[in-house]
Amino acid sequence: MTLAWIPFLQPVPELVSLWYLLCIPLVIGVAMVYKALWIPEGRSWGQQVIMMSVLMVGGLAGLAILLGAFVQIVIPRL
Amino acid sequence: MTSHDTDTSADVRTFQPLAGILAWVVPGLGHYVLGQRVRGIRIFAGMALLIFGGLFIGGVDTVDSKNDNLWFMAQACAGPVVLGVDVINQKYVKELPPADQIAWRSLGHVNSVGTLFIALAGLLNVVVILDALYPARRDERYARREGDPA
Repeated sequence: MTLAWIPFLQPVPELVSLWYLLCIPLVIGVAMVYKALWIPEGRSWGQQVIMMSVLMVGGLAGLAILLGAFVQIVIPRL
Repeated sequence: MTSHDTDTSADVRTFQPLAGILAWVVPGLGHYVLGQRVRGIRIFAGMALLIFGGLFIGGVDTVDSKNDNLWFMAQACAGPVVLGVDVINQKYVKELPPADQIAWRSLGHVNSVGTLFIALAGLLNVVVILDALYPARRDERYARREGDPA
């Protein structure tokens, strides 16, 4: 029941169909911590986080396309 | 060492158990007390996004020491907040009548992704804790990378 939803205690309603988009905040969080540890304090952290996030999301999308093509095209021909 | 590495003072080049403990209690606090304040705030921001993002997505059901105990081992490294969430789940949610638990239970991908958010936060915090325990090693790695003696 959406009206009774309590954020952070109960799961977000109606999110099941968009679950794959949740990789974006996940990747941003990982990049924020990784780059905070790795780069010196004076460096452009935000720019590095954005670049790492874009690369990781691109890599995940590329893997998804490759695996999708393998399952949809290659496996039916075997 | 470059001039912007202001966090490499001699007093932090040793084993720092207090910083390691504080890094577990509040992710980023270990670095903050070592004088690496910007780094500590950045770590805290990233960890907060992962922990509270996971709770926002999947609710308290994403932390479950009874049913997902292997995931919980990774999640527990993210700090006491995760232990508190597990207490809420075990003592409050699981004590509800089954019909009332429906709104509190996350299922399928939502539960998986929420669990993954907090587990990754815990695993990243292991690295953060080690980095706070031995700050000199990370600084020496920077120096080698920059081609500058530590």
